[in-house]
Amino acid sequence: MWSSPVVALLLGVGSLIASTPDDIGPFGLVQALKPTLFFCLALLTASFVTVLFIRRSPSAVLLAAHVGVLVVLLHGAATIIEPVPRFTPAWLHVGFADYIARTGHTLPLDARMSWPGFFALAAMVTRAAGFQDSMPLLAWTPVVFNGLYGMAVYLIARNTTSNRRAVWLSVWLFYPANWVGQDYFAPQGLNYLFYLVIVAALLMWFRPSRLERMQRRLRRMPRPRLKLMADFVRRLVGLPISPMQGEQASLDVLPWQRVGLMTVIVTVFAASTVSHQLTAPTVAMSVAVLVVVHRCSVRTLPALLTVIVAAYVSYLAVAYWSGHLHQLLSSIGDVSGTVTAGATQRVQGDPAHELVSRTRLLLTAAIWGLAGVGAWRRLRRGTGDLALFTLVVAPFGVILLQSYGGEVLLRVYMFALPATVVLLAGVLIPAGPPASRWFGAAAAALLSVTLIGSFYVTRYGNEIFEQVRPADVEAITWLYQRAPRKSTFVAITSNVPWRFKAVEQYTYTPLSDDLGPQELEAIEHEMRANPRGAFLIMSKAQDVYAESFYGRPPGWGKRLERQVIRSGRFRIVYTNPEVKIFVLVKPPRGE
Amino acid sequence: MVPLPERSDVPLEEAETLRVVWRAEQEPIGLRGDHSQTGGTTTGGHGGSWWPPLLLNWAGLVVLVLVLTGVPTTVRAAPVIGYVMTVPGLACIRLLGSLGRLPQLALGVGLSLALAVLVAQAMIYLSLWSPVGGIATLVVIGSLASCAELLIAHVPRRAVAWAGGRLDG
Repeated sequence: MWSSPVVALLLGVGSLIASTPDDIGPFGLVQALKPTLFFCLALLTASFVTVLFIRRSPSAVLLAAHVGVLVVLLHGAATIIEPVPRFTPAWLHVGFADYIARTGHTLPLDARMSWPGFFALAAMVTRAAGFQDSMPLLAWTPVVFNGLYGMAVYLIARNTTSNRRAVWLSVWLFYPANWVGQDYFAPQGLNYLFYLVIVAALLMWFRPSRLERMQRRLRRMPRPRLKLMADFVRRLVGLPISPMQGEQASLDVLPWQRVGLMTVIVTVFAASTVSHQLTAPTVAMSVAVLVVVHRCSVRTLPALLTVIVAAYVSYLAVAYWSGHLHQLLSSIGDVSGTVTAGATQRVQGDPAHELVSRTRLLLTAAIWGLAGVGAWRRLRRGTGDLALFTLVVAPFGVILLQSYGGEVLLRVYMFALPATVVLLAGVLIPAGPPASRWFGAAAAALLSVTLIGSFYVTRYGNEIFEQVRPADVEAITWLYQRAPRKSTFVAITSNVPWRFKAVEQYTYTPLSDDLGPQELEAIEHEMRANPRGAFLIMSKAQDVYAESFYGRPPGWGKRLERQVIRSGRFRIVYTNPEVKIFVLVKPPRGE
Repeated sequence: MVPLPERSDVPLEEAETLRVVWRAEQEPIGLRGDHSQTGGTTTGGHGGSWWPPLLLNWAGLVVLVLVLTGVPTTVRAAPVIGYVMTVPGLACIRLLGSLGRLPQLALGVGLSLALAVLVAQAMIYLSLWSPVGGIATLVVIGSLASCAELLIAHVPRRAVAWAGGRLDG
């Protein structure tokens, strides 16, 4: 059985190396993948479910090896295929870390710098390691983060289900279900790990003990008539008398160990507070709900976490909210607006992009639906877990706070995912007697293959514009060498791998997606605004982004480029097969 | 072990089937050293081998030497990054006694990264920015924790008993 993960890894990585980024099409990376990769993934899946379901005592190390190979083939696919690290926001984060490394200060102009913990960490480590910047960390960050997530997801599953097979199936399903793509070189990638670690620690050591739970149940014994009614309803829907009888209790630790563990939790939370604006409130919310449902024994913890967040925002993130407090407060409670921004408005662009967006929504709905079935099955068996259900539901509270640029639903899905996959595993496990195990294995294989197959579309569906093209990097590097400081870089869209260095030394101006009828005038106006000079960057990557994401007509970018050239108002100073850089032609004297 | 759920609504013959299924569910396939068994206990106290804290201590020393002497990046990058990601937190977590290998590792990595974030950000706010200083601070934290573990776990029991006797007397 060891041969399967080894063969899958070697053949799979070989297949990814043989793929070429030129084949990435409107549906993303999936169009560049070779059939061998899918064969490897099928082999890996078949081997995993066989070991998990059929073997009498499966080896944990063997199962971990299967999961490790899956992580590389799923989350390392783009890294192996593409010649330069993907995703332009990650390049910007390199620029932020570079700024801190050079100056030792935060950049006052950008809101993200009000939570600079991640960038400061990257700056410190890369400089101490001898790197010029954080660029060498970019490519493999998703694989490393996902590897670390796996440990915490294992612990969460381990403490919310008593079935070891379900634990491993949860970890396995977590990876193809984690299509959100927030594991790149960014604060949210690190903070997701913080979230998972805190949740795992609370579930392991800070649940009420069995004795506490029993005492509480005795204290709150319902009135006979109410009990009769509750029993009737339970029988009506087919639930046992105690649907959560098998719920797990806290592990026994000594009082001084509890103090130490709580100190660790608060320290990790403090690091989360200073490094990402959304994660800390989400953690506080999840903990508060756990306390409300009596699944966290430290009842004052939500208050402490809230005070930490409030103190940080009040004293050290003033630069962020002081300018646009109204804008921040206006989205509080606007649930319909947030949901619309998160679901409906993201389905836009050309037909391929729309299809990818719809596939994401469909997959999310399917996963939640199946998780619901898993929850019901566990309740029917008396192995329901209120803490688990809480962790699925609590992140939805974030919707009440803000839309987060239309991304909040993605984040809700992401924060609910560790608990969701445990419920998902509950659909298939326990499989019952040996005969049913084959059926369980087949069903698990089918679910895995569906998730893994759709992963390459849901995660990498936008790869046509999320990849970073070497031609762009070449052009921007040339620009940094030649452009005078304080000049302006103008681009038609924001899809440019710039700001990875000298982030404060230039003005970066991505124009809006709709320049209006007077496109040339708008560009020229922007460039003339800076007396120190300006450079217009036009590239294939921007054209593709505008066509795919904003639904601009095909050939729109080339047409604009021809207009720019023919106008006589711009002069080419740099060109490569995919990028052209222009400067303004100086106006004749007297103008 | 979790007790078999009380399913008073289940007929007797079905209850036996349930018992079999329940037993099957309990088959252990956890990671080695993972003590997070259902309803299990986490042993408190120390008394393990002396070499893990010593190794963590030496790792800090090696990293500090690599950083201070300006060894080429190809040599020092992996040790420095690996150290920052694991050791300071792991050394602190080990002070809490045996929690199981995987919980210890997961918490250790989380705490290491958290400490690194806090140290780096503190340097910014205190206007004391120095990447080498930051690494040195983390090495100090890790080394102090592992020294404390060595002291707590390996102070000869005779000495403790003697001190106890003197105090009692």
